[in-house]
Amino acid sequence: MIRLDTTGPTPAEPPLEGATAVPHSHSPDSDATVPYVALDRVGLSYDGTEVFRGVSLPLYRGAVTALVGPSGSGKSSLLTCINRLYELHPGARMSGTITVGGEDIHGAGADPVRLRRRVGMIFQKPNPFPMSIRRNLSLPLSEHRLPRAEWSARIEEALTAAALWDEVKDRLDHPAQALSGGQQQRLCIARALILEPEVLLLDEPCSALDPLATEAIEQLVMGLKCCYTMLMVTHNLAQARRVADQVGVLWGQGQPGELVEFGPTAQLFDDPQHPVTVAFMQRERA
Amino acid sequence: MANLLAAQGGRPLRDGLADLATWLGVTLVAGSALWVVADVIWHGVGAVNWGFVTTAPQDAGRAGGISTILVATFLVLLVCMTAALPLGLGAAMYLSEYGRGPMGRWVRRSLDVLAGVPSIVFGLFGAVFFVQVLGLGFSILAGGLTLACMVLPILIRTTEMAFSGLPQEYRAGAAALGFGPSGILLRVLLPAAAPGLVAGLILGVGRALAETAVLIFTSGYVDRMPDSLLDSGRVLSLHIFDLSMNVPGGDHNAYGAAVVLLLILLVINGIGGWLSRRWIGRGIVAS
Ligand SMILES: Nc1ncnc2c1ncn2[C@@H]1O[C@H](COP(=O)(O)OP(=O)(O)O)[C@@H](O)[C@H]1O
Ligand SMILES: [Mg+2]
Repeated sequence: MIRLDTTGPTPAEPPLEGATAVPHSHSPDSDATVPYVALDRVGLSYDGTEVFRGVSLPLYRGAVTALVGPSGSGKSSLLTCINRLYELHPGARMSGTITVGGEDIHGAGADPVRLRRRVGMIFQKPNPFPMSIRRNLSLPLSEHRLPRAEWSARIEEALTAAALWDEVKDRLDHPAQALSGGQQQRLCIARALILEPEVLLLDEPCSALDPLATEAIEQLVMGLKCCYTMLMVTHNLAQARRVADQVGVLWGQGQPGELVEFGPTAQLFDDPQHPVTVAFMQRERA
Repeated sequence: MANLLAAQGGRPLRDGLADLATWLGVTLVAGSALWVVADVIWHGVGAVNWGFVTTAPQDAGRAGGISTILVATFLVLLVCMTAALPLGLGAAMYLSEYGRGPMGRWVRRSLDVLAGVPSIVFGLFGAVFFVQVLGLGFSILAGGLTLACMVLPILIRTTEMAFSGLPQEYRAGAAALGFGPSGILLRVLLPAAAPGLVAGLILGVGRALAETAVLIFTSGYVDRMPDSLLDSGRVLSLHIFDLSMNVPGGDHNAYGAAVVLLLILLVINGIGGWLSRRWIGRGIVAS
C-alpha cells in the first residue's frame, strides 16, 4: 500500500520552537527522535575535485528537510549520494557514511537496486519516459518483477497519491510527454511512489514549473509528509519556509561546499546564526 | 552609423541571393528525383500488371514476368536483415553505452572505413569468404550474408545515433528507479530510440535493395525459382541491370521491374512510418 495521509494535504506545520531539529511525526510506527536517514561527514568528489565535504545531516520520517544554497554548491550531488546515483559517474567518490533505516548504504549486503527502491528521486526537470502514462508506471513494476495482477491497482493508487488520477484516468494510454510540465512532474512523483519507497529525494522539483503547478507540487509534498522521509533541494526560500520542517544551508563559493547551518525552519529564518546564512537570506530576499 | 546603414542596404541583395541559391538547390534535387521517378513510371507502368509479378521470366527476361526474381529478392533481404539486425543493434548499444574509450573509437573508425568501401569490394570478399571458404556456393545465403556485411556499418551508425541522441535524463531516471544496466537499455532506451531504429532499418533495406555488385559475385545470376537458401537466385536490381545492359529488347521489362522496385521501396517507407506512428499511438513512443 502506498502510505498516504487520509486527511489529504495538510496545511504547513506551525513553526517548531526550540533548538532541536526534531519534528513531530504523524506516523505512530516511527520513533521521531531517531533519524530515518543519517548522513555522517559525507563528502563527494568528481575525478578528484571535491564538491562538498563533512556534511552531517539527520532526516526524520514525517518531516521535510529543505536544502538550500547557491547553485554549484553541490546540492544535487548530495542527493545522489543518498541513493548512490553518483555511482553512474565513473570518477565520483563518496566519503563518510549514510544510513537509511539504520542500514549503511555501502554496508555488506547493501545493493544499489534495493536501495533505490527504498529511496525515490524526483529530478529538477520532469523526466517521464517517452511512453504512455500507463507504461511509465508499469515499467518499474515489471523491472522489479511485481505480479502483473497488481499493476492496475498500483497504478491507480500511485496516480491518486500524486494527485493526478482524476486528470489522467481517461487517457492512461496517451503519451506522457503530452502532459503539462506540472502534470509530468506529478507523474514522476507517482512513478517514484509506485515502488513504495520510504524516502523521497526532490531536486528542485518546481524550478521548471509555473506558480500554479508549483503550488500543486507543494501541496502534494505536504500531503506526503506524514509517511515519508523527504529531502528537498530548493532555490526558493519562501518555498522552504512554507514546506520544510528543517532547513540546511550548503555553501561553497569556489571551494568545496559545507553545511554551514542546519536547524528548524523557523529558527533558521528568524534567527540565522552563520554570517553566510544571513547574507544568503538577504540576497535571496532582494 | 554609416557602416550600419551600408550593411542594412547590402542585406536585401545578399538575402535575395541566398534565397535564390537555396531555392535552386532544393528545386534541382527534388526535380531530378521527380524526373527519375516520372521517367521510370512513364516507361514502365504499362508493363506492370498482376501477371507480370506472378509469372517467371522467359526468354532471358524479355518476356514473362519477375516472380522468381521477387522471391529471390525477398529471400536475400530476409537473410541480410536476420543477420544484420541483431548484430547491428548489439553493436550500436555497445557503442553508445561503453564506446567512449579507445576500443569504441577504434570500432567507430573501422565502421566508417567499411561504410566507404565500394560495394564491389564487399562482393569480392563475399565471393571468397562466404562462397568459397565457408563453402556456401553461389547462393542466396552467401549473397544475403555478404549484403549484411555491407549494410551493417550504416545500420550501426544510425542506430547508435538514435541511442546517443536520447536525453541523459532517461538513464538517470531509470537508474533512480532501481533499473539495472540491462533494464535501462532494453526497457527504457530501446523503446525510446525506436523511431530512430526504424529510420536506420529503412536506410539499410533501401541500400540492400539497390545493390547489384555485391550480389553478382555471391547470390548469382540464375533467374529460375530458388528452391532453398542454398540455391542461387537473381535479385530485382540485378535483373534490371541485366535486362537493360545485356538483353537487347529487354528495356520494356526492365522499366516494369524498376516500377516494382520503386513500389517496394515506397511500401517499406510506408510501413516504417506506420510502425513509428503505431508506437506513438499506443503511447510506447512519443512523437
Ligand atoms: N558528473 C559530474 N562530473 C563532474 N563534475 C560535476 C558532475 N556533476 C556536478 N559536477 C560539479 O559539481 C558541482 C556541484 O554541482 P551540483 O551538485 O549540480 O550543484 P547544485 O545542485 O548545488 O547546483 C558543480 O561545480 C558541478 O560542475
Ligand atoms: Mg542542482
